[in-house]
Amino acid sequence: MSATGPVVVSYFESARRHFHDAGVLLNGSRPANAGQLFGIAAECGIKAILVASQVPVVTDGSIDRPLGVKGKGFKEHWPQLGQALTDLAGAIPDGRTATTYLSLIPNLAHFSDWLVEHRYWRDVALPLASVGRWQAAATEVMAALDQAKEDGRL
Amino acid sequence: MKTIRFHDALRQVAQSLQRLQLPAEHPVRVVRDLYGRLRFAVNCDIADFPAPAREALEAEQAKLGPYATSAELLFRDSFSNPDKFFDQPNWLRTSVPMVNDGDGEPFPTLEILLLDRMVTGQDWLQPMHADGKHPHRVVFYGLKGGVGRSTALCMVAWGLARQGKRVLLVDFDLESPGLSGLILPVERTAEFGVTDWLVEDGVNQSESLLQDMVSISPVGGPTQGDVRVAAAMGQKESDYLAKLARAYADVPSEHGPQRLGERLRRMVLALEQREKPDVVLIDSRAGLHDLAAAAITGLADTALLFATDGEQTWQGYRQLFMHWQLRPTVVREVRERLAIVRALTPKSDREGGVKRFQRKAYELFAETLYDTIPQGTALNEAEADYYHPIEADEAAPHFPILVDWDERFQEFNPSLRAEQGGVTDAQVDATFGALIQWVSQRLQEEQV
Repeated sequence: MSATGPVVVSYFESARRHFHDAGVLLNGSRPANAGQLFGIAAECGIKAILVASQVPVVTDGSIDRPLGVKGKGFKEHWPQLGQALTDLAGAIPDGRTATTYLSLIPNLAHFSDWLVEHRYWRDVALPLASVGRWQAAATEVMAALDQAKEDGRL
Repeated sequence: MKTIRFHDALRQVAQSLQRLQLPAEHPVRVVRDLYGRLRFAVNCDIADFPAPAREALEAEQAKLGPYATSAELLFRDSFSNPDKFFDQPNWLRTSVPMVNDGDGEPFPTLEILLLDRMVTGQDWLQPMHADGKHPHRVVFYGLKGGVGRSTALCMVAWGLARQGKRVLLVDFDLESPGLSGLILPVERTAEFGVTDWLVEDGVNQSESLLQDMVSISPVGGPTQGDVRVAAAMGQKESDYLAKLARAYADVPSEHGPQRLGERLRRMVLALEQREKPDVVLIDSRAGLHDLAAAAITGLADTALLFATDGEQTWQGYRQLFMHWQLRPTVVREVRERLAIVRALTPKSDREGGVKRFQRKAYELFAETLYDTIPQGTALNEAEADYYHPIEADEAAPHFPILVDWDERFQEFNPSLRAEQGGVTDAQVDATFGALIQWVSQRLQEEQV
């Protein structure tokens, strides 16, 4: 990460990009990587909502670690990110905005069996039966981003 | 450079859309965001919209300064689910009045297709579409409090019960929970209230609350009908403010978030299905509040608008009516449900006072909610094509229903008999008879 470089991070754009590509892969019968991208898309989308809720960012635009918090905070991956959203709710400066959009995503728990390490796993070991649920939850995240866009918060 | 204010910004975009040469096949819409900032939206992919037109719109958007949401225009590609955004029912054809020219003459009003995102008050613009499957709902509303609205509601409930009607009262005045005190002894209040329902609904368990939400009021006791009450607050409430602080939250559902108005509509429907009333009377919160919007626009078959002859009252109603007036489709849905109640009518100079009130009410409706009839329109044509009742039309929304001032009802306790300092049936009829009669008539018309 550059300390003084330009803003290169856009969680909103990357969420849309990963979600779109996940759909392309799924339609091309590539569920393993599609599932990985649905999870990444949802993570990016959640971070876009957190930035819109005034969670501080560093100079490249990526989320900063909350002061006094051990671990990665909101920089966690699923499923720990879901727990961070609960544990660190009080660290979100504009909690009302965050609640408005997070309440549009009732099925984040679908990512309880998603791991970023899946990208290293053998095909047969992947929980491919969960891809549909990951897609559904990621779709909810995209709908929340659409709403935030409509509201002028993104 | 002149500072652009909230109302300037919308005028400016309406004028831009009129002035620019834009492709007719892709009409340009306007989104006003939660902060009042604006941006243009076009229902096509960015690649299908001519670049010169896009650049012209971007330039106009930039001129809005702090009232531009961003530099970006919205196209279908801006959304994961563009149909949900572009096809939602919240897009309304909206009139944008212009300022005057140098000679003081107003420029013609322009019309735009606007999506107006608001933090509160969205329900004022989302009228219920009558489905004819529910009992008639009468909302009692006062722009200002202290005009005897709840007392009138109590008397109308009694009057209807006397005719053998089964009446259900629902208290929406959550921030001033008092209807139950007026119409129910504390010990007869049900365990849970409307506020409990809203909180439990947030965790998806409101269904089981219904059976403990309604109590029987002694007001209906001596009559052939009955009066049941869903109060704002339950009997043994110990933490009301903590619940109230959460009651208005949007609640997630399979079909997206449910807003307050939608949730209250679901609650009233569930109560109606359970209690099977002939008529539902809703005590709305006063003021321009979301609870009032949910009641008047979202639920009422009839909305009784209580008013006294004070400048503040007229100004408040004018603002509400003008909000509707800018959206012609909303006006057409709402105006015939309304009826003005002249509350606390003074006894001195009664006739003259009522005439003055009637004139002001007529002028208010004529200037905002009634159609403007173009000069030279033939009378029969005007009647067929335009909704504009005459001032003397007793059935028109502006024609006041009179409730007289009577000090006996100031600290009124309906459970007291006349010899205990309460009031007689004749005294109730003398003060509230016209209103009871009016509501009864409205119910009869509904049945026909």
